Amino acid sequence: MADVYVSARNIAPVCALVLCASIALADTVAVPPSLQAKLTGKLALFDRAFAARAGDRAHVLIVIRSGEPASTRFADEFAGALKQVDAIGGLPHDEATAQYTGADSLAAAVKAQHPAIVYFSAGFTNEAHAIGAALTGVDVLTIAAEPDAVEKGIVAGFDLISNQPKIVVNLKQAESQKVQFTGALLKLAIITGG
Amino acid sequence: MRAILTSSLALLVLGLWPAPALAQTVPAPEPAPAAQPAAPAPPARPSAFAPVEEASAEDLASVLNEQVVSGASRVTESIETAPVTASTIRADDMRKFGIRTLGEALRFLSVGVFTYDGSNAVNSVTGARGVGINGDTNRHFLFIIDGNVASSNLGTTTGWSFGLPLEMIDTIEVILGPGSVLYGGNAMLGVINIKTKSARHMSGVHVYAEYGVSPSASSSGHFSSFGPSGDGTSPRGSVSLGHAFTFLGQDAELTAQVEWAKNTLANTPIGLQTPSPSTIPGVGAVPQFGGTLSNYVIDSNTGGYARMKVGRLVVDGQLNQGTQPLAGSGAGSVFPDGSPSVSSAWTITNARLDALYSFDAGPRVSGFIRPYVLADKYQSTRAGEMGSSGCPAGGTIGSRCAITNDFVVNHQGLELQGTWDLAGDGAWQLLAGVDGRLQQTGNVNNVQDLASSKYFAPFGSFDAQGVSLGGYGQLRAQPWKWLGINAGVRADWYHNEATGLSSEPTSNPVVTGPLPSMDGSAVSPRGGIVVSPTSTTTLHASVGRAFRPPSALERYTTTASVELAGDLKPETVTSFEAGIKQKFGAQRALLTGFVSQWYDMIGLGQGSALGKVQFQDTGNIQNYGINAALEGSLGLQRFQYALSFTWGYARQTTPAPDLAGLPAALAATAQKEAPYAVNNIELQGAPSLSGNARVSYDFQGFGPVAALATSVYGPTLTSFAYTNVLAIAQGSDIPVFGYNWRSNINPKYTDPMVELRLTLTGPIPQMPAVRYRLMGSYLFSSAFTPNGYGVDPGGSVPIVANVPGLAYTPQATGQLFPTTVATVMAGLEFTLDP
Repeated sequence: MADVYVSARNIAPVCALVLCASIALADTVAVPPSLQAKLTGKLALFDRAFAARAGDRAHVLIVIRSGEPASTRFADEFAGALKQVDAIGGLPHDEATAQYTGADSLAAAVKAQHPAIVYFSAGFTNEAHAIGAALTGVDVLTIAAEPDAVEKGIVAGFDLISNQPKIVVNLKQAESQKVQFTGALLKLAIITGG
Repeated sequence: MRAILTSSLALLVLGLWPAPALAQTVPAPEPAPAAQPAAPAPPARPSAFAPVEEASAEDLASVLNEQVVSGASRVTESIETAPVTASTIRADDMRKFGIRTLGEALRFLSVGVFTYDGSNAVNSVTGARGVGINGDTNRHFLFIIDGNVASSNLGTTTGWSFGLPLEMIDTIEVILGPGSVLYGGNAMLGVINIKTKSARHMSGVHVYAEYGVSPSASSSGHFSSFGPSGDGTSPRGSVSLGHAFTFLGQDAELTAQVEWAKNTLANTPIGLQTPSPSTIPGVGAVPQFGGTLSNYVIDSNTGGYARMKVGRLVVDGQLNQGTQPLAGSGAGSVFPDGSPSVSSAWTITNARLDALYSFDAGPRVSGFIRPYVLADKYQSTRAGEMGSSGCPAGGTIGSRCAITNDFVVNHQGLELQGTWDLAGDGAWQLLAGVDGRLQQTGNVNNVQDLASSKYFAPFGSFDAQGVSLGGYGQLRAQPWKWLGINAGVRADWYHNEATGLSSEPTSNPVVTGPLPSMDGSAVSPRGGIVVSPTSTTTLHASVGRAFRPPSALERYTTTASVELAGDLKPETVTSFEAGIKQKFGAQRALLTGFVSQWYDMIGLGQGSALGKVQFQDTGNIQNYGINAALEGSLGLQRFQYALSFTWGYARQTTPAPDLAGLPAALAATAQKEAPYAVNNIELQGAPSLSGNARVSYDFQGFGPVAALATSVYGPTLTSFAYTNVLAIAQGSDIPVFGYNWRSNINPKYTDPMVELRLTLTGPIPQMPAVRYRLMGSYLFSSAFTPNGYGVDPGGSVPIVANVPGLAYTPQATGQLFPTTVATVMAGLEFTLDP
């Protein structure tokens, strides 16, 4: 099943000179990638299960929406910014990117490879419900670039309110994915979802 | 391709940026281990890997306190790494601190900006860093709403008549320093970039009802008492809507808000004034004016704003009207009532429609197309005394005239912009764009003799057509983690042609004729560097230039005394700043030093003959100073505070006076008094010291959010302080342009102005859908504007130079225009969120 994921670098989708009238991603991501990377590094500190999940090194899987240049662009910038972050949850880290081909495939890959964090680039709001259902019971912290995806099934994400970042948390999804956020984080976060 | 690009760019700047390994093929899963007895639970992790709660919480709060800006480089970036001095005003803070208008938001919550509304919203002035141009109606700041220019040649108000309901605003970015590099003209003092809320941040229907009361002022301008009559009132009602939905398979949302608001000044005593001259030949004595001004509306608004997004397309529009009657009862001919058929008033109507379509051309190239239209109209009607400069002498002796003025600005434009992520990781970004605009400007004055109903032909009217084109580019780079570079340039060109409407004052036939064209260009570069030696310290330096093209009014206005301007150059400013931004946990400090030089300032100067004036180059401004700011939070953001301080030294030098056209006796007197003239003159109404401070505490369920804010301005030069008028003898008042003599009228400076505002906000207990806001505000000053209203109650004293050797220099005390001293306000917000 792993080969359903291929390197984003190998088949970089290109719309060339055609205006891509696909899903509008430009305005759905509120917080710039550099700040999202910084917040990701600190967010993991507030997950009591993160250390046990990650082991000695935090593996981050960055998922890109196929055929969406904006999703690829944001993922590239996020990955670049994440390399500037010294530690994630206090641990050294590495990143890998992958194309999204379905919630079930994603869940299988996560179960097999045990990334500590799965980060969804721009464009996954409409897929978030299926992703959340597929990852129920799987021990992983999912983070979305788009705040709307959190309400629909991603554990955490980032919103921008009045030019300041906010952490958005789906507590119900967090519990189903064995993510145990501390009270200190929840005081600072916006709680959403059922 | 990527290696070639990287190495090529390295030849231009510094070193190579190592190519990050972004993507890897996901390896095949390990085969499942054979079934074994359950392993014992792993030992507990060392505490170094366990989540650290409270200490890390403050660290996280520090990151959450970071701000982003999108107006400095037209890219969303951390405020720490922007090579400018910027501050953001948040929606939550505007509500929390009782803010009701854009002007109040700038006054209480920004860094480096000062603003006052003057006698009415039309005359508002917004300045920064010690520089403000009195009477410019904010033409030296560029106002932007959701990426669309909201400024026009008409000027911009900062009261309710700005037309954007405050609850729609998510953020106001105040970016100081030249901003023409990306936006074109008018961004000389800076850019005020307003972003409205998305539907998820204002979902449902919200109804706002607020009512403010301001007590009458005493004869000294201080707080007198409340009611039962004569209080100023400021009611406001508004309804907003935010809704996200799906349209044609695309994510969509609609946000909109309509508002009605009206601000009436409290009963205010106006000292008895005698106009100078007190008689008009052929007319007779000009009546005195004064008394108690009542029912005087200083600001109002009816209108709204709406924004709709469907997929990649965003369309927004604004339509609003602000009206101010120019007649307040009881003040006699200061604000003269016309005949019953003429009501004195001004009206501003703003209409905008903008669209933006964003696109991607590959994973590294994005951009947008932005068509836009704007139509602003200013209409005023007022009555004048026959024989005065406003009324033709050929009218009916003893009657009044009605003077109407319509000033219209329309523009239609198209902007294209693209952004190229050169290296694919956000470290190198190239932005480029073009912006073309057509503009129509018209100014029509009509004068009607109220006794005979005869219309006199328009004077000083014109109809201008123009085109402007701008092209810009910017490179943002972060070759290393600790170094950021920003360099850009914009070139603008403009061309206007106009037709004039004119005639003799006593004739009806209208003569039209072409007026000289107005052409100009400007190049606006900017370069900046940001160095981050640590994760909490950033040092920045930047230099840039900005410009303001002459307005059609300045180029083409003609009246009985104002001659057609010559070839006006655009005003320009070159500014350098350097600063440090330091974070201490959840606290952040800023210190910036700046130097700016302004050239070719446009103002009224000596015309071709005595008694004539003309828009022309009236000199340069030298300016330097510092901005300092500190803000932060404690207790996981429950307690928040901020303070800012600006000191700005600003002086204007005027061109050497030309005495050649003056009568010999006056020229001789002017030369004799020249040593007493002040050449480096302070700027009227621009405080060299200004600042604000605020604190708030959120009781989180145990009480309201309590907030206290203060705005402080140091003394500012009044309009009485200097004059270019020499009086050789009583009644011979003649201006000598180029000289600034201290006048015979006090006060030369306003009092320091300290305004204090206390606000309580929160939900109504047991009614979470209803929130309240209670505000009390007090101004510790007798006035809040440097503009003089009148001179010498009960007497007739002109403003003339107070210099030795002149036989006629009467002394007098003038009055500054009164303003609202105290206000208490109560408001409710009802939320209907399905």
